[in-house]
Amino acid sequence: MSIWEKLSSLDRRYYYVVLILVVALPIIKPWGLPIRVGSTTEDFWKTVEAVPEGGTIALAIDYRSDCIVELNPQVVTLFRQAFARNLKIIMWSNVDEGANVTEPITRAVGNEMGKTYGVDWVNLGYKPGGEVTMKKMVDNFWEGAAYVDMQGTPLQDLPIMQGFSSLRDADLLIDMMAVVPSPAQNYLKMVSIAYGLPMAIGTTAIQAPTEMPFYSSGEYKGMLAGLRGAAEYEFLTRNPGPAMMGMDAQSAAHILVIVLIALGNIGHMMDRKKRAGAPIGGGS
Amino acid sequence: MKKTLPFILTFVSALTITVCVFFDLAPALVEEIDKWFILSGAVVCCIGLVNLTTVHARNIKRRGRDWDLSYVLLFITFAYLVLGIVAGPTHPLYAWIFDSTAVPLGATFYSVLSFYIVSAAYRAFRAKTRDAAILLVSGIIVLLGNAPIGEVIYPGFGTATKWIMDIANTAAMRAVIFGATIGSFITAIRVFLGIDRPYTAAGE
Amino acid sequence: MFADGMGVDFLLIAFLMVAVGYALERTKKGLAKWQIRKIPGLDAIEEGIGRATEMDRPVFYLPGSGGFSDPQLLASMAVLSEVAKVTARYDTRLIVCVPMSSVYPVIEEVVRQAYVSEGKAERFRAEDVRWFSDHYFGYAIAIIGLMFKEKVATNIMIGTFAFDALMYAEAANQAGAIQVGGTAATTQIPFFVAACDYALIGEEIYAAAAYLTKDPVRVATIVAEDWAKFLVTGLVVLGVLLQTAGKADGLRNFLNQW
Repeated sequence: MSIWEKLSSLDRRYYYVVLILVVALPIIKPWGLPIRVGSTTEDFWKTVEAVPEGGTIALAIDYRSDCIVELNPQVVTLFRQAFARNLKIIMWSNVDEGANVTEPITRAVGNEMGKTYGVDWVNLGYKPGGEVTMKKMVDNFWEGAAYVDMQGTPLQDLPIMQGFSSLRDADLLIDMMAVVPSPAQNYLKMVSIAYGLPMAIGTTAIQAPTEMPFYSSGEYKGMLAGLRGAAEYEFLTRNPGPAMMGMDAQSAAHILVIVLIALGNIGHMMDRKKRAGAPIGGGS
Repeated sequence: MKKTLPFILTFVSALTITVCVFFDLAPALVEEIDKWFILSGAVVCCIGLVNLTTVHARNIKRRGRDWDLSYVLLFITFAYLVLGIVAGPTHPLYAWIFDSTAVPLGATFYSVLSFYIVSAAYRAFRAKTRDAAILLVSGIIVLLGNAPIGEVIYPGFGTATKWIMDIANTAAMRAVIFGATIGSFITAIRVFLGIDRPYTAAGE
Repeated sequence: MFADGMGVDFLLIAFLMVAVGYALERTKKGLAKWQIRKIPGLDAIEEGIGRATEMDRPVFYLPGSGGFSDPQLLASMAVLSEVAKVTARYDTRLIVCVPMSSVYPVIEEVVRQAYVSEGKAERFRAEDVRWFSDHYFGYAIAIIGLMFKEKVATNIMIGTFAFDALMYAEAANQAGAIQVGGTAATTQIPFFVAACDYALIGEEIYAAAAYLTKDPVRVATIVAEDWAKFLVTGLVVLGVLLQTAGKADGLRNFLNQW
């Protein structure tokens, strides 16, 4: 049996063990690879910077606990950038778990930066209904949000909500999303394009190619793509965090995948060559 | 009747919404239908709960396979449901249970994807044809360009990745999006006209 | 007359309706005989069911995670109906795993009706239409486990899928199944192309029911779809020309505002 045949018949769990080692080692001992900021991230940062001081960001949280590794660092860094410029954030979720996964991390940033819940930011919780709720939030935001925040506090008791009666009152709409079908594309169609509200998104690396056409066409003013986007955003705002730490591990994992693809292809070519050279009707 | 009634309901509600939304008519009616839509979404969650309870209650009654686990599942489901209703989603106990079970489980599960990618990388990503080879090379360039190590190896990987994502990928995605969107319109029209009746076994 | 920004949308829908009506009329009068090009992924479905029958192992069907407002689910249900008819005809076991509780009762009815229409009502097994959880991790882990347990011979996945698609494809491959994957979710198309034996890309899933049934009425709607594509392609070309000439703002505003 040749080495290629041995490799192709190798139990795939060996590859899994190699992957764990390859990802773990750079986390234990970082390589410190340089991070270059891409245009999608830079545009996202600039879009947030363009919101006038004291302005409001409407933030839709459309991801579940499965994608926290990629998206939580994006949300945390967004809060840091916004709070540093005294921007207000009104957030809600169109996905059942979204409000719960972001509640502890956003509260931690708010407390750390001396901001007050209900004045500087609010978490309105899960708002079901998809496109119908989005449309309602344009016509009558309070009704779309069912008149209460995540804790059941009436919106009339929250200073941040005073004068905010429609999504059109926001200065910027951001969707942090990792679900299909894409809620960001619905917001784009129903709110951003329809009412000229600037929009930016944060998403996972898997979903970034799908959203890219809308960034390229200028519909999304900026885009954070996956852990790499989060790391670039942390780097740009000088808030080093878990995303920057994860970059070395991501590099290592990508190299492993490339090595495996190469091995698989070499094995495949050897196999084809062997078959082509085998005598017809031969074999033992 | 079983086939005609769903069709009439589909046709009338679709026609009402379409006419009202396009021509800005009867906003109160549209609002009412919107509320029904949201409410029906909440009600169908109960269908799942009823189904789950029925299946596992039957399993317990019949002493079927892993019937003891059915007890555990029903207990956890209803205990958490009652806690959520009584204490609310921000209650510390409710939040603690969520944060220490659903959140790490979800993240772990997503991470498992990397193992499948590794296995697929070895098994499936083969340059069997010229087209597959082009795809493979593009994939490798994007993999390198999306991680900092790519630019350490060769600074051009970043630029090449940007070109592939902005030009090649965007062009292909747009074509697929156009086709799929028009396809979804046609599917909706087929349902609207009763040519497709998925709720009665596809037009039977 | 029109609500803000709805004029162009209305005209597009009206064009599609007229096109469908015209294509149907020509079909009914026998003036045109349309044909859909060969789609290997759809031809492979019957082949896959035949394989499962020979091996005496089940066929798996995953309709994706879309709800009723998702056209991909509607397209998938039409395919499921045809798949269920063939499995009923061949007396092959069909396991359908539904990810959303709201969709479950309707999917069950689709499969039941397919068995009834083939005169095999007694062969329908309600317990083979399964719902586990609305959440990815509960649903996906259960499906992967079931694929190994039931030694699935053929795995058909058509509809909206998220990151879990590759997991099913790899698990089914490990269980020795041949696979047909189809989605219009651009995020997952590459995974299906790489990991499945046959892949349906984008709009092909919407043509699937017409292709499988060869029903002239359904085929006529696919023809109308092609006419709409010509219209949109014309708009794209017009947009490119105007943008190149630096005069696209008027068209953009017209499409967005009117």
